[in-house]
Amino acid sequence: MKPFKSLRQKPKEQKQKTERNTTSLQENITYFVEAFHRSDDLKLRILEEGRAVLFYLESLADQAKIQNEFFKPYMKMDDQEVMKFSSGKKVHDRKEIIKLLLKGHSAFAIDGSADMLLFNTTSAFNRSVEEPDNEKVVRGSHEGFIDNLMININLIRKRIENENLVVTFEKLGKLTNTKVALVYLDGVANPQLVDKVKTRLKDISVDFIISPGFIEEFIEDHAYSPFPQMINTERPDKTVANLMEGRVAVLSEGSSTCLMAPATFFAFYQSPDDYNSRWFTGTFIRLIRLFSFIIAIGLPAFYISIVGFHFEVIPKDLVIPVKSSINEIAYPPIIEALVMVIIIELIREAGIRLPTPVGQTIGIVGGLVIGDAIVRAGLVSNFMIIVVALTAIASFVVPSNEMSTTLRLLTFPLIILSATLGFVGIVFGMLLLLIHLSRMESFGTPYFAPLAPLHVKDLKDTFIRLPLFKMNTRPKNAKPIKGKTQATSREWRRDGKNRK
Amino acid sequence: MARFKLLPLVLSLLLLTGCWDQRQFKNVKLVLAAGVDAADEGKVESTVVITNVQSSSEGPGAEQTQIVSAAGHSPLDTRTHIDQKISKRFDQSKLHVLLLGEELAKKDIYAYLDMFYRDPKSNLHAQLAVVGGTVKDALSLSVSGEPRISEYITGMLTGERRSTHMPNTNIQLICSELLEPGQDFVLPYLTVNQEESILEYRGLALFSGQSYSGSYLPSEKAVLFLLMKGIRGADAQMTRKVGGDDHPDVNDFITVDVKEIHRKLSFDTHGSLPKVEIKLKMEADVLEYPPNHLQSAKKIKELEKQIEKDLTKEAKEILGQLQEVNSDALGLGRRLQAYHPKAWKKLNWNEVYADIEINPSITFEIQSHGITN
Repeated sequence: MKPFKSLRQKPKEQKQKTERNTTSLQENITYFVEAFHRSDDLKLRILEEGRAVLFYLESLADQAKIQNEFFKPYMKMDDQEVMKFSSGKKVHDRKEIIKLLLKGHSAFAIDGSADMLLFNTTSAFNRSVEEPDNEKVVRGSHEGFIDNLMININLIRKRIENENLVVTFEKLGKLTNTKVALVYLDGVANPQLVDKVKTRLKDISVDFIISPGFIEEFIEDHAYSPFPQMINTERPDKTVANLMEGRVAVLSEGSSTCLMAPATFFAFYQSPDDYNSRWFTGTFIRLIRLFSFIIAIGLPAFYISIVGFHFEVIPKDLVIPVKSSINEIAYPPIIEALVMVIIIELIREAGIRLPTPVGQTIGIVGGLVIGDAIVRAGLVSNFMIIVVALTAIASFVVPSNEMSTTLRLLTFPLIILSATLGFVGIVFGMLLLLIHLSRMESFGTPYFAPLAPLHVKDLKDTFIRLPLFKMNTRPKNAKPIKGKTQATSREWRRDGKNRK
Repeated sequence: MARFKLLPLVLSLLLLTGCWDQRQFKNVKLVLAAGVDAADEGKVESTVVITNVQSSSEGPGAEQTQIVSAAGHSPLDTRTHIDQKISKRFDQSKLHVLLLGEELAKKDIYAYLDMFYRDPKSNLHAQLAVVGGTVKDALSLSVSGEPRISEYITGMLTGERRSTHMPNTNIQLICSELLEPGQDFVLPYLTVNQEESILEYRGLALFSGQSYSGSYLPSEKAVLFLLMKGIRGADAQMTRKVGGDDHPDVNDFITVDVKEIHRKLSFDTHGSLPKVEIKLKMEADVLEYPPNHLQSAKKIKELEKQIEKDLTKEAKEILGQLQEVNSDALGLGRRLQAYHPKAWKKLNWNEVYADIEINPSITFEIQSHGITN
């Protein structure tokens, strides 16, 4: 009857036990009402003087669609024709019907038939495709993922018109049955990687999955590392770029975040803006961002070491200004730094939750008033304010929110180390950090690549961004099976003659 | 899990060390200028200038200076005595200037610098100078317009260095010259002018071995000396008398700025004592010459000849003075050791240095004369 049935069925999955409808309408309807625990939003509409019933979950179904899909054609038909609706789907398995009802389908049951007709009447409330707030770019695409899985995949497919783009669905969460999509580009993505992600996804056995954040913790390699090991984005263009490099994307229903694996440390420092601007600018901004990494984790520690241990390194002309600034501060520099860092975190956290106008007020009160008063009160020195403010700004330079929070967190251990051991402490801290970064792996890819292990060719898109026509090979990070990205471009000459 | 059991151990290792080896910058008394004098009974007297700054929320606060001296057996002994007179402890790691009293400099100065070479925290870039009179007087001066004596002295020395009146000297740079034979060094020589309450730069104190010879090269001769040594600051200005009679006026003088020098040292080691020849070629700009006939090549030749003669004479005087006090500040010995090791081994350089023949020959060339003719 259905020629493509074997294609659509997943062979590995065991078939669930089916429970057939009976031919009695009364029995069937009672079954479903009980199955939904007499939930009040299960609406029953008695038709044909009690010989037929249309039922659906009022909260999920769209009234207008019911009108169009069911009632309009229904009115034109007589009883005998009813079961031949072309738009309806005949189902007799009760479990299946429950599943479909939960998606917003409406079921039409008629006395004397075990089959029920199911119409897709799902109501969809989608926010519009807008630019994500936390990943804005100056130039380039201003579309962002929304909370609907199908529209998100649509946004990706629109950008890669290629039959090799594969989407596979998984249901995760034993109670929530969240639909999760695995997207990759066949022929580019490494099959081993795809298998790895699939296996790990299947191994999730938890009651509920709300967002990709849940998935990430279940499938990443090093759950106890502070560093994010999957790229998080709400941008379709970024997703597409990563798919083209051979990465695998994981999207889930009800969330606008897309997860991508494998991730490397330097991937978190790339932004679509780098490629939209000229390559000089892109390189410069990339370097600024990587420099901000050093500032964000090391500057307070460096300053504390200097004023607490090694003040002989202060430049000659700065000695008196620094001395004057910290001379009568009541607390040692570590307390100063911790107070300031915590104040900044408080202001930041308070600002996120509050509506924009109030958030700005908090920013001004926190930044200006507290900042000024705390110096006048002699609790924190001018220089510490400069240092901590610079650190906070540097941590926000990273395009990825996950990496940014990680950086702010890493400041603390380094502050403590520098306050106990000075420069030696910083060296120890950085050493541990480097060891950790170098030995980490994300889905089989070294996390600190292309630095450790060194791939000189891949540095073209790490510290710098070379012109696009120079990027002839894909980065080896994701171990893609197709290396070349282009034949030689720019074969023309400025005088119009061809180079060949 | 084992690694979580280890965590408190590691944390306590870090946190329980406490702050015992911290040196809080806010808790130290900052010493930017210091000096040592000779005291009675072979003791030394150290003087330190402590700069106290007041805290301020806007820019650097007001500064107060505290001058403390104490005598002791050694520089570090005096340090203990000074600490007993002040609140907290003083710290010399940001020292800008170290002054040596004239009397003390005549002894072996290495003994007073030893503590600086040993301590990794000490500022080896601190400028050194010899003070005629006592260091205590020099550091106690209150110079109008110069709130910090350390800034005053370093500023003065930097200026003199730029105008080729002294070489770049600091504790680090003189170290090898202190310890090696075949090379002596010079230090700036300052005197205290109590009437005007200022310090004056006098010239270069000539050291022989590790002690001050007691004579200094006046600052007028310092330029030529440094040029012979191959050192030139930002400018090297010399004013020389050309022409005129016994009643000189301003028109008899020419001021030149030496732009480029080519120096050649050659040794003749055939005799029992080596002969040294210093060939110095200078190219200079005329900065000041009121009579002004500089468009004529003849006039320029004439001037060049006259200056050459004058400079050669002066060079001989300088070398005479160096040999007299047995100070090999030009480093001829080291040069001999490097290029003629056989000759060097036969000699006891310290003894023969005073007797060897050194011939300076100076070529002077005027390159330009400004935008007027």
